[in-house]
Amino acid sequence: MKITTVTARVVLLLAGFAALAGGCIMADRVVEIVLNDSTCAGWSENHTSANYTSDAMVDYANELEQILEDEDLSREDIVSAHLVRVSYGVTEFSHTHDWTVSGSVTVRRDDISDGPAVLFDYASLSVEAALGQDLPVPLQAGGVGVVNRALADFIEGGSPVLVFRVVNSGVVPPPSVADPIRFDWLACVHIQVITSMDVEVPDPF
Amino acid sequence: MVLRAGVLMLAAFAFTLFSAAPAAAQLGDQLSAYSGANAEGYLGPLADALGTSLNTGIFRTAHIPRMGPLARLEIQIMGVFFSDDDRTFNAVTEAGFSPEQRVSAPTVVGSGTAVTVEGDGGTKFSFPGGFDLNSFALAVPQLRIGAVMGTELVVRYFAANVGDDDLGKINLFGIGARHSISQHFGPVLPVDVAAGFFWQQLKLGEDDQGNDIIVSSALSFGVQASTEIVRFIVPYGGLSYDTHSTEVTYESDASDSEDTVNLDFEKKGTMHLTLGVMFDLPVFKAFAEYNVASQNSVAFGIGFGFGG
Repeated sequence: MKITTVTARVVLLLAGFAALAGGCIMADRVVEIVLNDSTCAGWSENHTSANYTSDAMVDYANELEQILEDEDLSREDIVSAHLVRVSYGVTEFSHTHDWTVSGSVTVRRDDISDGPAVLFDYASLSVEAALGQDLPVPLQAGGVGVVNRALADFIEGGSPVLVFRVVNSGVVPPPSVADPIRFDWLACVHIQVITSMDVEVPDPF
Repeated sequence: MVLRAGVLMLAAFAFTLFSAAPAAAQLGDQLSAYSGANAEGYLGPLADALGTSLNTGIFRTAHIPRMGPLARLEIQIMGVFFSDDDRTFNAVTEAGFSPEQRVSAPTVVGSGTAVTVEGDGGTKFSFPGGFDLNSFALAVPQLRIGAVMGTELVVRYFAANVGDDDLGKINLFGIGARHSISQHFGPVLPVDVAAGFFWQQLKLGEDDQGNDIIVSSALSFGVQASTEIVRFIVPYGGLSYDTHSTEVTYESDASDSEDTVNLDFEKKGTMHLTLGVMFDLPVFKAFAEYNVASQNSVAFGIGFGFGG
């Protein structure tokens, strides 16, 4: 067989293979992407009594819309969303002595009737030690349920608004008019949003 | 005709690069959910595949003329097959989730479905899905020049910016040399034998500070043998010791604040057996080979030039 004939045949074979490979390199895949985000509720405490309550309202619909907008996604792309953890930290504290506080944080829906339920309890918590920290808290099923139902409602088209309430029941040493307890703090709700995306990936073989 | 085949191969090469860019953007999203330990497990198979691919397709025939001229441009595609073991890794829930749990989660090449575990009070933690890949391919151009005293120089180079994405910048450089061993033995040896080394570095992406996002380095040294059994048909084989390492830099929001994470996939070494066949025509060469190493791979391609 002539060299030119062999060359032509091999080239044809490779050209065909390359063209075939070009069409088969890409494959469609459905990938579940996990997005992390957190929403923080802040309180400015200034009390002369150990028993006090403070509310913070969070428009969860707005928060979630922002996450989706950042990722160029829509509600229809969400498979599920859930609460992962809650953390807290003191952001402002300027006393000459520390305080320890005890109580709980509850959560309820403002847009519909759900809750209030305890999200977490805190006991003999040092305010000074929490300054600048991001500390985890053990969560309770009741409050977690309220947050998770709010997330589910958002996926279904709802506009959940959550109200977090501090229900403080103890302060050591006891605050007074002469020595009020004053500090700012945050509790951050960390969530994951799972979205489903169709992607084209190179998977040639 | 030959030109057309080359254009098609180049098109396939460009297509591989361009098509990989959007998937790479999604990879960034998936990685951002992880801090260091999980990200290392998630990316592990891809880091290995990069190194394995780079160390594939370096040589064909072991025949190197004693004195030149030799110049050949080769275009090749190297592909790695993923095994079932590559599809999952032992993941651990990220910091702050209680209680800490370990679970088998998808790697970057694993199932696309996220894995979710339950924690205290009905909380949940999800590990992102993978891209459900069976294989990974890399296409590179390679230039072979020589020959001086039975020695040839092999160079790989490619640089491009495919799109605006952070991972769109690609830069590959590799250099190595091979020396004919059989020339020193005259006709005693029934086959051509050569030995050589090859070093490469592949850089992918660039962050806002101008730092490379993925840097993969590979080194291979070994021996090769080949002989023309019938006219134009040259089976070849080789045994080499390969090492590769990969560094990845990415932004993680696992702790809800953006942290820069640097992953250093330690240098891995593996023995590497190559078996292949080359259509050794004047001016035009074509080859296909199978490689057995820590990850098995294939390579095929064509070359144009003279000498050798």
